[in-house]
Amino acid sequence: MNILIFNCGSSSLSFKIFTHKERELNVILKGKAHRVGVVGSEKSFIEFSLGEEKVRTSVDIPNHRKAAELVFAFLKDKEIAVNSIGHRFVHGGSFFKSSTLIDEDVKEKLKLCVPLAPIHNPVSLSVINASFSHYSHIPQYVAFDSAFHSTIPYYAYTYALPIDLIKKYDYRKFGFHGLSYSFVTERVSRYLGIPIDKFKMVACHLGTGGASVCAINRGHSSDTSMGYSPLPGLVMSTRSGDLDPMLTIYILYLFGFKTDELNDILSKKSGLLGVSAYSSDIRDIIAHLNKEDMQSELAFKMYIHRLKKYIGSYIAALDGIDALVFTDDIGVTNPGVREKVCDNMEWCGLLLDKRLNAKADINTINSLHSNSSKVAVLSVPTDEELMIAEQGVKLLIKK
Amino acid sequence: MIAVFNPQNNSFTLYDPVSGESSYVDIEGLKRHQLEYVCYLLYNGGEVITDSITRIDGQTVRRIKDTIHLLPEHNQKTYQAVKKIYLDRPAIPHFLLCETGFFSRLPEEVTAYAVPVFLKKTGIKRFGSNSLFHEYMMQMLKEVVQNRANKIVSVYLGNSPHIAAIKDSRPVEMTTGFSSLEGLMSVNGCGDIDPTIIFDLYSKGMPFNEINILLSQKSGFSGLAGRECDFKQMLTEEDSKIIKLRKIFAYNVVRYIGAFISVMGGVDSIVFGCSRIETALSLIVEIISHFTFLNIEIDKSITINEHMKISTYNSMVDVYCFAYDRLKMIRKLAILSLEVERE
Repeated sequence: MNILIFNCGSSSLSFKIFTHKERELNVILKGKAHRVGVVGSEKSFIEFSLGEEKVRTSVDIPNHRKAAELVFAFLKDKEIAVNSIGHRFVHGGSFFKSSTLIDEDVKEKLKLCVPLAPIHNPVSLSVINASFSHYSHIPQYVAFDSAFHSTIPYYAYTYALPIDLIKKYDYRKFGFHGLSYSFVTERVSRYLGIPIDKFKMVACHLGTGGASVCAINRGHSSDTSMGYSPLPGLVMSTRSGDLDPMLTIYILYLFGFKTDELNDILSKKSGLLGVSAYSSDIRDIIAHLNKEDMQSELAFKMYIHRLKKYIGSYIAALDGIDALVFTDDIGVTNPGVREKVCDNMEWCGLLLDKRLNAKADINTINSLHSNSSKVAVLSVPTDEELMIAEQGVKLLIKK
Repeated sequence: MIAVFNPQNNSFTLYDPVSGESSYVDIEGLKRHQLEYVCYLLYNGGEVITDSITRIDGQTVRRIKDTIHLLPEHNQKTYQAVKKIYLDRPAIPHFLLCETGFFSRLPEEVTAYAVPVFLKKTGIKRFGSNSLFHEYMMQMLKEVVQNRANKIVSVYLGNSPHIAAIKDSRPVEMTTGFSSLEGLMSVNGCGDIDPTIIFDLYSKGMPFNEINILLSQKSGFSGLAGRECDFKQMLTEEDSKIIKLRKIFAYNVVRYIGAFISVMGGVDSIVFGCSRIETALSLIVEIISHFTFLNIEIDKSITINEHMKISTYNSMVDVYCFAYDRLKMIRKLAILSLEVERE
């Protein structure tokens, strides 16, 4: 059985085909459409990697639908069969608590979720529609980033707003990066040899775009730093993270911005980019430290400080932890960030081994703590597509 | 008799430290009274007034004027009161008590928001608020424990709760930010929320002044309870909404304490201040019960007292509850300041 996985970014489309045989999932094709719908000096392009064969084609990709169609054409050309398609969907609102096969009813509910993640949800929906018009007779399913967080208890997801307003508009913490957290939890359990329901951990999904922290209590998400939208929480590449709500109102008054203008500033021009006025990439900022650039130094310090606050708050919420996990691009590839974050954490029994940390392999799970540490520190490469494929196998076999 | 000006109600509190009695008077009414000294609260001193307590002179009056733009509604009133009374009563001491002073030298990674430089240039930052309380808690703690208070989490429990982290006698974090709306929820304030909700409400047709009122006057304990609910009611009433609210509030306090311990790299003492300890004690015990991993042990047999340690001798972290009275605090700060002057 071949499962095609689509993972939509705001301006990209990643895809993988897994073949499922004897309980194992193996990638036979992977690729990514870049600069989808982006107008700029560089042309958009799509990459395929099929065994030894690598193809890179520069082509106009005005939208995600077109990107999906390029994938279908490639599959037809190579005569690769597809038996099911799995779609990542960022925000399933209160409708979806787990991945689900798509029927007409599900499609309608997905449409209702569009405003919840105005950047990601519409593009995912367009790819789903394109997939159905191309492959009308195979089972397709959606896997949700928000689903893993459906176990967050009310005392962690409730905002202190008027209760009738909360009910009317469903204002609450939903959380994101759930597929990654779900994947990482399982891998850590396997790696440590401890059943999933026997340990507590804090995981940091530090991506090049979004970043969040999650408290995971015996396999279940119990709190996370993003909220109703992906804006709050950590200092991210271009997102501000937490802000005084009064400040938002004050700025709107002061500048006479329209709300979407300020939303745009806080989502796309703030965070590391806004503070450093240099780069949205923490790796650039680290490379730029010690060059008497006060703003880059401040951006780096803020990134670490906010992260330490969230980790501490979730360690307390969990009444202590067994593991601290770093994942996604920055989490896995950046020993400098991990070292700063783990500095002065003996209070909770955590001691980093700086040597292990510095030489961690980015392609596999690594233990980074010293022998005397009571808390395991791990770097764990995440694989959202594999998680979607695994969820798909469960759904399809049940069927 | 001493007089304390509070810009919130634009009046003076007359306080008799001997009897402990207090009453309100306006600026005119103050003239009839014999006074030892006068204190004025300034809610936001920004980067102009950076001391907690200042003996007022002509220069101070000019500096207060320079803070008005930071919090026009309140600072203007403080300025007017100081100008009038200070000139009327030159013979007695006048003190300015600044609610952001103790927090004014926090490192920038704590006070900055992750917004673009052009917004930062307008002067927005996390000023914090109610810093007098936390400085006072630190001083009270120092009187009780001589050397074991290098890393302190100080928690105020009341209608507008707030927390600060104090390391080596300097604050290093606080829950309040640009305004006191940030951080923990209060009797009517929402505390931390996703800013996207504000954009969403606006796009649904709610004007800003209504959003402002919604978040600062209709949210918090009362918002979640669905009716007027103050701190005491939250702790003592038993309907299902209040029970949930209590749990949400306690959880948020736990999270912030954890965050601040992390920032300091550990904790020696956690100190709670509240006006009535007996009301808040069960909440405090619940909050502390989330920290068994730090080997904190509560002494359940303790009798209630104005200054009490509620952790056991074996506890790895000391936990204190102090009865807090704002007027007593202000008097103590003023007396300390006068003593320093005499030396």
